[in-house]
Amino acid sequence: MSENIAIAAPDPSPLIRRVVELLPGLALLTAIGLGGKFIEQSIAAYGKAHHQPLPNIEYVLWAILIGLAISNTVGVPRLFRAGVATYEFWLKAGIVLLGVRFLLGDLVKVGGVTLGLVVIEILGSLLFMTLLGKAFGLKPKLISLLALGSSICGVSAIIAAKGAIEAEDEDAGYAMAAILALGALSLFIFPAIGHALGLSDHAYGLWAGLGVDNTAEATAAGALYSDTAGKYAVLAKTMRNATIGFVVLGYAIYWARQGQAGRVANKAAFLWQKFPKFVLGFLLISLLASLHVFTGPEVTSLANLSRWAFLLTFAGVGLSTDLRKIAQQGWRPFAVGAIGGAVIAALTLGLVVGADAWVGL
Amino acid sequence: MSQAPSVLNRLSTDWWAVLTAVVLAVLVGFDLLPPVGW
Repeated sequence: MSENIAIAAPDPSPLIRRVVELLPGLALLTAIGLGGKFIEQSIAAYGKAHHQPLPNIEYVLWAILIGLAISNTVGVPRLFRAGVATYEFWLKAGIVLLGVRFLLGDLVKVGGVTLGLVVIEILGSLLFMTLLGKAFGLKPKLISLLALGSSICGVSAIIAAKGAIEAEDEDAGYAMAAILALGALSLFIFPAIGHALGLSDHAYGLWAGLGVDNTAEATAAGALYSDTAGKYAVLAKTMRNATIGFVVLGYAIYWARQGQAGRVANKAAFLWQKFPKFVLGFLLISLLASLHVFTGPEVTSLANLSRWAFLLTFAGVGLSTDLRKIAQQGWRPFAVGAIGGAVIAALTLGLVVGADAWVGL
Repeated sequence: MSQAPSVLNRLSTDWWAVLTAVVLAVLVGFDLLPPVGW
């Protein structure tokens, strides 16, 4: 009896063991993020000291570039992988905390226009990607995955839809590779176009949130332009994410009717299962801020915590993007994704510029 | 007691993110965390 107790007692909690496993990767994310901040500040300080007007390149880009350099040369050692994979958690925690910078009244006002743009973007993207996929002769379920990934939220939508429409692993891999490659490209292309067109922070942020597919890259593309642009990019992207359950349900019903996927027994449970719960956290923090639960300095602290969470996210984006693996997936899904991405970027840019001229952003 | 770790183990990333952010908001709201700079 007593021997049994003595054997059972020393077992460490699996939760504690899991947390310890995350520490090396978390340290790497922090080091890369801080490295990005250091480079940004050093360049600014050098320009100031030597009276040279150097371009302000945000820490976001440096953090991503350092991460890309590591993952595509020496690779991320196994010891760090579990911690690096937490970047999605930091992204979501950062988005929830960012809720403190949106009062519910503003959210309703700005959100109305944004929601209209999101609906047009999703319908336009689904239609265009489906037609394009058919023109390129891609498999029907791969077309569904690419359409979902392009219209809503990149990798999360593809993962959510994969099980629901019973797609093959290979198709999901193709679709994710295309979305991730385009996300990496958009980090460089979106800010350049935004600056060339002289878009306001608000207009650019909405465009980045509507036009960039993966949430982490959309947040980064916004933050690369300005802090305010990053805020609006997150708002638009979060709204797109919130629609994921409805659109995936539509596809699940379609494939079930074709006899190529199981029936959805309980639609309400399906919607709740697919709904991104961090959106609820974002709304909760926004509600607390609207009720003036936090003082001014407390709002600043929470907004800064959100920035620190995003800093870890951006380091993780670079470390998790393996361009060699993406290249192995072949050119066809990438071509569909690239053409679709370019058309959707142009469509969403037109929408934002139109909305800016019509209602003033 | 034994239920708590198993519930935490089964939490999705989304719920972990919400839980963490809410805990941070409570800490900041009750001045249990020093001002956070950037």
